[in-house]
Amino acid sequence: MAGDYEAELVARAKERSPQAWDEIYARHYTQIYRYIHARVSDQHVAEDLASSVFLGAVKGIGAYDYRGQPLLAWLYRIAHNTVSSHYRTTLKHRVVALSTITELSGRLFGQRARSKEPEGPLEADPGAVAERMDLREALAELPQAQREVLILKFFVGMDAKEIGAILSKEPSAVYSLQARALNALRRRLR
Amino acid sequence: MNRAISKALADCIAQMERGAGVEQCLMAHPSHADELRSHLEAWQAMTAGALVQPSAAAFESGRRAMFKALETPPATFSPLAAARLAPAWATVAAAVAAFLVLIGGAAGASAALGGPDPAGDVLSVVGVSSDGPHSGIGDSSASDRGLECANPNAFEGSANSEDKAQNADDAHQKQSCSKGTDESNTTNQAGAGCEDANNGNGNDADHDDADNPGQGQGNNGATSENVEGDCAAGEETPDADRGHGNDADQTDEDNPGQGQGNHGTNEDNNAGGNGNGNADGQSNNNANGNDNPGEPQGQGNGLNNN
Repeated sequence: MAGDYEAELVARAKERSPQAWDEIYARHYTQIYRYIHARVSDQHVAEDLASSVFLGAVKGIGAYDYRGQPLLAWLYRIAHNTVSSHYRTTLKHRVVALSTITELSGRLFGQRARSKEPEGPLEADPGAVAERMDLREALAELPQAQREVLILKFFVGMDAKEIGAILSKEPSAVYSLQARALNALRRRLR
Repeated sequence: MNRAISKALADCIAQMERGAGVEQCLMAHPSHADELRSHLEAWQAMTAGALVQPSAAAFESGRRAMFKALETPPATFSPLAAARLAPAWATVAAAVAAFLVLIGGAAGASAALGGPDPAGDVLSVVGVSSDGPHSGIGDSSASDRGLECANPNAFEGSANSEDKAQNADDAHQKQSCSKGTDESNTTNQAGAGCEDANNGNGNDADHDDADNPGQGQGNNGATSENVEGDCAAGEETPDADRGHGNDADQTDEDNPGQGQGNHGTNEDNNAGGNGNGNADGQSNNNANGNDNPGEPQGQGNGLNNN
C-alpha cells in the first residue's frame, strides 16, 4: 500500500503538483539534511546542499522511474552525489565531517575524555584531539558501504529496514555490515 | 573477529534495535560474551546520541526555493543548450570534425570540376588509388585475394569429408572379414585381409568383455604388421587396447592416446589424439589421425582398416 501511495505521489510530482512536492519535502527534508550534515563540515553548507537536493529532484523527476524502491532512496542518491560534487568543488577530500567525528568521538570516548580533562573543552586535550583524528581516519578508511550504514544509523536515525530499503539490501545484510563496520572502526582505533 | 563472533554481533545489533539490552544479548551468546561486551557497549553509546535538527529557517528557505523551481517550466532539449552544456573537448572535437567535412567537400568539388584533386593526391601517396578495378575501400584487391585463398581450403575440406564417407564405405565392406571371429579376443583373429576384428564404435556389442572394458568409440586395431599378414589368434598386438574407452583406467603404457580416435595403426605411427584411421590400409602417420592427405584434422572414419 505504501508503495502504491508513493507511486501515486511520484506521478503527481511528475506533473509538478505543488502539493505533492510539499509532501515529499516535508517527509524527507530532515533525513536528507541529517545525512548531509553528517558528511559536511558546516551547518550552513548542509542547509544549502539539502536545499540543492530538492531542487535537483524537481529538475530530475521527469527522468525518474518509480520501481517500488522508496522515493527516499532516490533522494539519498541525489544527496550522496551532491556531497561528492561539493567535495570536488571545494577540493576537500573529506568523507566525514569534522563535527561528525567530534560527535561520534564524544559518544565513543566521552567518559574517557571527560576523565582525562574534566574542566576544559575536549579540543584542549591533545589526547582527545588525537582520538578524534584517529576516528576520522578510521571512518575514512572504512569501505563506503560500512561507512554509509553507520552514518544512516547514527546520524540519520534509520533502522535496518529503512537502511536496507535505501541501499537495496536485506535487513540481515545491514546488520552484518554494521557489525563489521563497528568491529573495523574499533580495531582501527586501538 | 571470526565469522561466528561477527554473526553473533550482528544478531545482537538486531536484538538491540528491537529494544533488547546488552546483557540480554550476551545471554543469548554466552560463549562470545567477553568479546561481544565491549562492542555492544560501544554500539549502545553511539545509538544514544541525539540527532541533529535542521533550523526552521533553513527548512522554509529550502521549501521556497523548491516552489520557485516548480514554477519554472521544465527545460526542453535544444541543440544550443546542449552545446552550451557540452564539455570543452566535445566542442573542440565537433569543430574539428566540421572543418574536415568542409575541407573534404571542397576537395571533392574541385576534383569533380576538373581542377586539382588534393584528396586523390594524398590517397595515392598511401597506396589508395581511385583508378583500376579495385577502387575504393570496400572493393579492394585484398578482399579478392582473401577470397581466392579461402575458397581452395574450403573446397579441400569438403573433399576430405567426401573421402571420409568413401573410407567408411570401404571399411564397411571389409568388415565382413571379421564376422565369425571371436569378438572377445582383443587380437585380430581374422585371416589375411581381415584388418580389424574389433573395430568401429563399440568393439563389443554387449560391452561386457573383460578384455574390452571400454565402451568408447575406439577400437582394437591391429598393428601394421597385420595389415596384409595373418592375424594370429591369441597373439595380442601392441595396440590392442588403445583408443578412447577401451582401457578403463587409461593407465596402460600402450594407451597414450585418449582421443576419440581409432588406434588401428602401428603404435609408432599413431601418436594418439583425435585419430581416425582410414580404411585404405595405409599406416597412419598423422598425429591427428587422418590419413586423408591435405586434411589437417577432423573426425574421420569410425572404422579402421589398417
